[in-house]
Amino acid sequence: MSFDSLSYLFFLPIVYAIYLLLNRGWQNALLVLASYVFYGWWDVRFLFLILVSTAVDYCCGLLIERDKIQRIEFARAAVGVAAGLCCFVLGPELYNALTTGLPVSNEVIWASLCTVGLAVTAVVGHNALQRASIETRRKAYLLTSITVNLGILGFFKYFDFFVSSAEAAALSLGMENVSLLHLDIVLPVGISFYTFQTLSYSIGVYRGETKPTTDYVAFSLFVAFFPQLVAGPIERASRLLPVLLKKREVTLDWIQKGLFLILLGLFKKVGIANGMAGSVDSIYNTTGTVSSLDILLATLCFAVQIYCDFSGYSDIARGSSKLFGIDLMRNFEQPYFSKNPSEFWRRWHISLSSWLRDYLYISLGGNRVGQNKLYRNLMLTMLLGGLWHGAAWNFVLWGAYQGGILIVHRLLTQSKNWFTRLTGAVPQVLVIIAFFFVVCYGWLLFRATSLEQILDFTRILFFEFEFDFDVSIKRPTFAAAVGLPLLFLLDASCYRTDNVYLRNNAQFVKGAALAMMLVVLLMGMSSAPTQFIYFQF
Amino acid sequence: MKPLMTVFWMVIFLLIIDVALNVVTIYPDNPRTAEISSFERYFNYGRTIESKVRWMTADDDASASRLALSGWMYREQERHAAPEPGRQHLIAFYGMSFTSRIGHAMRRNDDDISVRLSGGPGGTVNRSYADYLIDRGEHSACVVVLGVLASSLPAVGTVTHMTWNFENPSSHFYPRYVVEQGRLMQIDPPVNTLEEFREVLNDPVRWPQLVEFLRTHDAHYESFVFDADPLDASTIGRLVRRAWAQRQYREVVARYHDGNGFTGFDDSLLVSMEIFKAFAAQAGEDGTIPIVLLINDQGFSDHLDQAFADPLTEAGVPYFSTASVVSSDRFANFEPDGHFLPEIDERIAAALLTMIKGKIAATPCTVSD
Repeated sequence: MSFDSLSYLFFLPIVYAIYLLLNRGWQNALLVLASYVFYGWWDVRFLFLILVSTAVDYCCGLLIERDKIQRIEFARAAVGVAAGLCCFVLGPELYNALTTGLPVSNEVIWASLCTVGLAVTAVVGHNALQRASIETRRKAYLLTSITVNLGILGFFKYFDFFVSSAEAAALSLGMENVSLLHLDIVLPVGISFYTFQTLSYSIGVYRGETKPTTDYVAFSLFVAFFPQLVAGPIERASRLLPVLLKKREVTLDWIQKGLFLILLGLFKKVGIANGMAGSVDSIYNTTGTVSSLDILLATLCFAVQIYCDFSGYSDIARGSSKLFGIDLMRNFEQPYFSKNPSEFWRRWHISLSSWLRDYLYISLGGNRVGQNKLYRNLMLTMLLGGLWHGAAWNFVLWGAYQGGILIVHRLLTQSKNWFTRLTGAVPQVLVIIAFFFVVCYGWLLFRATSLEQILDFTRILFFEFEFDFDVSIKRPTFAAAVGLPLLFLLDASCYRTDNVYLRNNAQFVKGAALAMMLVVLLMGMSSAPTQFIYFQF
Repeated sequence: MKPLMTVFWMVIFLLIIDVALNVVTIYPDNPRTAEISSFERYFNYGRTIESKVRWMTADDDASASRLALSGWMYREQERHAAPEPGRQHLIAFYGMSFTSRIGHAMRRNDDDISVRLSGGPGGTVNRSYADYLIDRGEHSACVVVLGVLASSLPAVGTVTHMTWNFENPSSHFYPRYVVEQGRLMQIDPPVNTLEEFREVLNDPVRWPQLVEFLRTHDAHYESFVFDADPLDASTIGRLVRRAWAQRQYREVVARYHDGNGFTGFDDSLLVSMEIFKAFAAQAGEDGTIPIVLLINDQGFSDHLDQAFADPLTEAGVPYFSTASVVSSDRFANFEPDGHFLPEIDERIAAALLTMIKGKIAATPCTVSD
């Protein structure tokens, strides 16, 4: 189910109305059920992966903390996985086999065998570990959590990519007719997001930052909470889990803020991002020749599209969550007003960049190491950040580009030199504009459909640039054209007031802004809907 | 109190925006002389179809809009019944603007060719075939070309242009065809001329009957986007209706076309194929050469070829596809209004003419003037 769909328009109020009628214990159960319905709307089979991840991390968290797990706790996890296997994999497949007469698919047999194998390995491994020291056992439990989660992610997201890359590498080395196993695996929606979120729990418990919970329902909700399940923000267990474990109050102020965020997100996504999609696609999806101005305009449109698309999703997620009394972290803080790459990554996809900082960059030594190692850490972190986005080489290149500009910026600002004097002397708005274009080249790498297109577009843009106004790019929609200046004003005011929208404005100005947003949203609803870009990650 | 004040001001501003846009974008009384800007058009797209056609139809033909006059099948037209003096062949096209543009390009580029053009906006397969049937025996064309537009194929179950063109409806009607017990059956439209339609529109008894006919016989009819209601008076209401109409249209089209090709929903492919076979057989009886022209317009790749190439070959019906000349996936091949660029029309016309000349050489024309 997508936030900008008609089904969500009915789903959210129904869930909310029932939620308000229940007490806390049942509220969490309702939200878990709602989250599974929300996710199952796409493909019910992949709910099983969420249940496996939930069960493994629930057990590992308790084992890391207490070195033991009670039978009832293990039983909860086992029942969860078994029920998931029956309801979401075996049940639908058997029903399908009975109604169509087709045989049960191999995937189901493999899923069942893997589940049994996992259970046997867990019991055997747990018994074998009893002879090891406590610290070794804690490490082993953490490693189990990491291996299972990253194993699922790696298999579903990267298996085919690595196989194809290996074949291409073999071919470039002169080894012809190398054909490896391709599985054409369907990527489960949101797998990268909930995998990183559950990892934050295991690592947090291991580091002593998070207290593990015995409440299986609350933990299931932490893994699968529907507003942020498929595209974040990637929450930390230390922040979200305590909120899910205590009684939550829903105040009028939170409802108001929640509804505003939902409207803001829909305004960005439906009003602007969808209206830009056609322009971007008309250049990036064409097989014909394009001019330098086409590429420039399409890339600028994509910069707007991806910001409005992703931050719009995060706003709706935060808004929906606020209605339930749960405050999710901010994911964007006017990133295009950044003056350098470090600032950009403090403002863009904050939940991912801070996750990578806390669990990868700092684990590698962070900036408490020598210069060369620091640059290596920066580059490695951004490369993996790029690869996190998708199993394709353009994302790796995008990550390398981001790592590169972070390193260059660090080199240039180490001491007072011409660069710091220059950026300090010119008006800051010029620095913001200049850096925006640096970011935009990154978006070209990100949006490109192939490495050949990256080379072509880069050549046309930087070596064959000409002002040919006979452009073939499709114009953005009227809604996007009206909505963009309004968004700029909203973001600019937010930038000046500690990231709070419309804080110091009179009531009638707020009313006017809301009315305009609503009108742009209604205008945008006529455009063909496009899927949220980050769903594919 | 503060949130309520914000909501209060929001409602006030919504009312102001609604009224202001209504005043600024109001349509003039005379649709014929009206020059409507794209801004005005944008905020009136959401009017119901009934509201739009009532305005467009006006009191008489002199003041009716050009779109209201277009597309009627029995209107008087000046067309060549025989090759123009000094030209050798007459080719008859039945279809829509795409076929007209290709026909014109063919005539421009070959001094031997005259063309006879029939069709209406967006011309569906059933409408083009009905045009062909009406035109039988009225001319001496050696070759008859039936145009099939990919984007219009889902409308093979309609009887009027109105129901499937919410934003720019033309009120003309045409027959629909269904296959019953393996035979092609024709459902005649309730009105055939604009005068007749105007009468029905202003008749409180016959208008509901016509709407009922659409409800029964038109696969794309939807009450919320067709029947006039008070939302027509509100700009915001119209925006809501436009969004709904677009969504509904996408849903309807998605049943016929899933993005990778045509699905055959509602017997659309079966009916179309029966039409092609009937067209080829009747053309053969008349001694003319039939050609089905598959026009894969923007975004339809070679989907018409996928749907019809094999059955047409099997049935021995000659066809020509634009996909053999130009890629419809390339945005730059099209004008902003969705037509092929003029140079692409020329290339399609040249390739089609090569095929036609080959057919004429192989099967000399037996039609008499």
